[in-house]
Amino acid sequence: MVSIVPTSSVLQTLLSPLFSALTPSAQSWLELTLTDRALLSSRQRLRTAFTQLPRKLGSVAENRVPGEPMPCTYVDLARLALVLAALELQPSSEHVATVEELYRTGEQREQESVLRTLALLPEPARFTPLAVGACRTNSVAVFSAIANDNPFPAQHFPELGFNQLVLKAIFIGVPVARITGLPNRVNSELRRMLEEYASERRAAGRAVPDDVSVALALCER
Amino acid sequence: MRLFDPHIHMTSRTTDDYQAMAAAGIAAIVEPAFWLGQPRTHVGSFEDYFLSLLGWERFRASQFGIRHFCTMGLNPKEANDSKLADGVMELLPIYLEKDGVVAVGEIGYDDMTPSEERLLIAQIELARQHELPVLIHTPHRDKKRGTLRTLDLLRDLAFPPELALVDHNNEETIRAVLDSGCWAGHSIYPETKMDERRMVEIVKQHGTERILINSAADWGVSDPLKVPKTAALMRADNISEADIEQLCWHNPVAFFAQSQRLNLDEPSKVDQRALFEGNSVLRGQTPRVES
Repeated sequence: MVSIVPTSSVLQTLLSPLFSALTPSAQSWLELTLTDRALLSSRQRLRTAFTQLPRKLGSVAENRVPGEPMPCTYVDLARLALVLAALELQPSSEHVATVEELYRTGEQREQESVLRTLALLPEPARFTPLAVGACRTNSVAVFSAIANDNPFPAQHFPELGFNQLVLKAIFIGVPVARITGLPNRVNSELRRMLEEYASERRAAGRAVPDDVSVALALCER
Repeated sequence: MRLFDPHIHMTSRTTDDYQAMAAAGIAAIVEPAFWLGQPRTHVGSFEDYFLSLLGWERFRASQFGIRHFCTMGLNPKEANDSKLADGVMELLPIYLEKDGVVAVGEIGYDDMTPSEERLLIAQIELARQHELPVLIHTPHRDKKRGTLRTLDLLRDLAFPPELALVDHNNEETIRAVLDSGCWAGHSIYPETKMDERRMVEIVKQHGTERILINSAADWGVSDPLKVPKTAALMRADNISEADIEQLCWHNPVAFFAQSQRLNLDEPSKVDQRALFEGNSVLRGQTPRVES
C-alpha cells in the first residue's frame, strides 16, 4: 500500500480499487499528488490538480468503478481522494470553504464529482447548503449528480429542499425512481405539491408526467 | 399597431431578434434584471450587469428603433446566497434611481425559502422608498401556492396592489391575482408557462383589464416574437383591435408609467452611425439612418 497523506478509513478503502485500475504512470502521478503537502495546502494547486486529474488518469478515467452503488467513475473516486487528503491537512473549520470553492469554480464535470461524493466527506451534514444550492443549477447533468443514486439528499436535506428536489426532477425529466431514499422521505406537503402540479398540467391541457404517479404512489403507501 | 413586450431578457438575444421584433411591430420593451442561467459568485458581476442593462443594451435596442427600459432587483434564485444578496442590496438604492428604471424586479419566490422571503420583503420596501412599482416572478414549481403566498405578503405589507405586476400566471392563478387588485402578467412560451391558444382563452374569459402579455424570452428555448404572435392569434379569433391594443400596448404603458420614468414621448429614430463608448452594433454594414 502506498503511503499517502490521507488516513481516513473511507479513503483507505477507496485507494486499492483505484490504484489497481491505473497504469503505472497514472499511479505514480496520483501517489505524488496525494503525498505533496505543499500542493494539498495550496488552493491554487489543489484546484489545478482537481481539474487536470482526468487527463492524468488516462484511458480508464471515466470507467465506472465496479461495485460502487453510486455511478462513480475513477475520476470521481480520485477527486474524492484528493479532497480528503487536502481536508486532512486543514483545520475542520476550513473544510466547507474548500469544498465550496471547488464546486463554485468547477466546470460541469468537476461539479458532478463534488456532488456525487459529498456523502463520503467528514461530517457531511455541513455540506447541506452547498447541495441544496446545487439543485438550482440549469444543468441536467449536475442536477442528476445530486438527485440520482446519491444518498446525500435523503440523509441531509430539510423537507422543503427535498420536496423541491423531487418536483424539479419531475420538471426536467430526471427519474424519481433513482432518488435514493425517496420512499422514506415522502410527506404530506410533497403529496400536496405533486397533486397541485398534476392539476396545473391538466388545466393547461397538458400531459401529466408519469413520474408524478410514481412519486404519488410512494406517498400513498 | 405598436406593441410592447413588458418582459424580455435582451442581453441573451441577438441582433437578428431585434430586427425581427422591430419588423413585427415591437416598439418598446422592459428588460427585468434576472439571473444568467448560472449563479453569479461576486457582487461586482451584478454591478456590471446592471450597468450593461442601462448602457449597452439600451443602445443596442435603439439601433433597431426599439425603446428599452429595465427593472433592477435581485432575483429569487440568487437570493439564496446570503452574502451575495446583502452585497446586491447595497447596490440597489443607487441603481433604482437611474433613468429608464421603471420598477423593482424581477423579485419573488422560487423555492420559497426563508432567504427568498427576506429579500423579497426588503425589495418591496425599496420599491416604496424609491416610489417604483414591483415586477414579481412566480415560481415554476408549486406555482399556485407561491402565487397565493406572494399576494398575501403584498397585502400584509400594505403594498398598493395597483403598483404590483405578478407575472407568469396560468389558468389556476389568474383569478386570485386579478381579485387582489394586482396586474397579471402572462409569459407565452414554446413549451412551459403559457401558450398563445391558452392566452386567447384567458382573454375571452377574463377580459383585458390589468392583463399583460410578454415573451419572457431569455437564454433558454423561448421566442422574442410571442407578443406579436399572440396578437395575431387574437385577431384571427375575432378579438377586437381595441382589446388587442389594450393588452399589448396600453396596459404595459399604464403599469410602468406609474414609475414616472417611462418616457415614450420621442419616437426613436434609428441612426446606426451612432456609437456607444466607441462601439457599434454594425460589422461593416451600411448604417441605416431614418430621417
